[in-house]
Amino acid sequence: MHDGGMSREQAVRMIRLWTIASGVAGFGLTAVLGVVAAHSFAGRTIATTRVPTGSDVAPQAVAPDSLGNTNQPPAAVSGGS
Amino acid sequence: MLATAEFRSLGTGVRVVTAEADDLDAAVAAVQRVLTEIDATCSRFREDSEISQLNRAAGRPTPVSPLLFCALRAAVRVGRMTAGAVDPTVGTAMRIIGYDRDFAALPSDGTVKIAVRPVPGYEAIALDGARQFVTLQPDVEIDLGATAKALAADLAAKAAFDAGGDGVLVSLGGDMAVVGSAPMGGWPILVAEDHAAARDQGGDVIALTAGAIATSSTTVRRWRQGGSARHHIIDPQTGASAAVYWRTASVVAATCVDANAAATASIVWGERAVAWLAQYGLAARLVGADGTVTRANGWPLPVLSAA
Repeated sequence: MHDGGMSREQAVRMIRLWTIASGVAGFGLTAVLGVVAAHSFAGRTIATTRVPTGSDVAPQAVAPDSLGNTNQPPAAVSGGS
Repeated sequence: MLATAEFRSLGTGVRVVTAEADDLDAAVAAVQRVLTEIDATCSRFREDSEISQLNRAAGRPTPVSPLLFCALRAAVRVGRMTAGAVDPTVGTAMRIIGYDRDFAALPSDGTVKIAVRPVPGYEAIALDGARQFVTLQPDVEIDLGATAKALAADLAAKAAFDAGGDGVLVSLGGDMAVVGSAPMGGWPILVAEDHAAARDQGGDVIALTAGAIATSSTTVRRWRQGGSARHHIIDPQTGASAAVYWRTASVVAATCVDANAAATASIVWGERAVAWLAQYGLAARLVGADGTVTRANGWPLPVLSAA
């Protein structure tokens, strides 16, 4: 009985270890294959044109100076030329 | 205290403004160096310019200077960015509609019969970056007018700042770039239809702390040819002056090249420009053919009108 019980526990432990080892190995293999595949098929770079964005340079309304005056002369004129 | 210098170059008025008076002389010298180089490289009106030589060499691979390569690359990028609305291959079309010399030298009314056609398109320019060679398809003629002046503003502003300026504004005929520290509250800029008109002509005054602004207008550089009114903004699809839906477009962007491209494309596209500008969040002021003003994408409402 004792020997038979030990054998059963050993078998269960082995199956558990085997299951865990298989899972770890499968995960590792998937990761390795993923890396290999990524380097094997470089793909194609799509040429894109940088587009303008205005969010960083938004114009502001003229703020009043320390005297509350907004009627300061413009530094320059942007117009057709 | 802002300091200002004005002179003429590239066929237009130049204005250099520095945040500190002591910086002005060095800034002006740096700007003049850049503009002299741009003129010798990109002017279609000079037989000896590098662009004129390239136009005469169409069909053959031609080595070009770093500056011309930079200008052509910017022009092709603008062509791609605007889906061909602003295209550097309008040289022949410009000549056909009579804009073949400095604007001041144009006759008041030419009598030549014209036959316009679509322009070849920026795809007709092959850029070889490794060797710095350019090949134009045969019979293609480049005009960098739309982008070279804006590129000059970007380069000149940077050169002025690198010359030791704390903050500098460079305006070339109303297309301007600012670099460095802005005055408190930003650079005050009057946005109007004609950069050379009186400062009480009306318009919006905005404050810019960084980036650039450009204005394209059909109300200036107009002439008559064979009894018809012409202006200098070409619709590449027709090869003729663009139909006027917006008579003036002003756009703020990170660079003057982008601002100028968006402003000129807005004139060419007309009503469709509003959606394109919104897509990229470009603040714009658009003046319709009847004078109605549309402000879009964060363009500030006028607190102060110069009118």
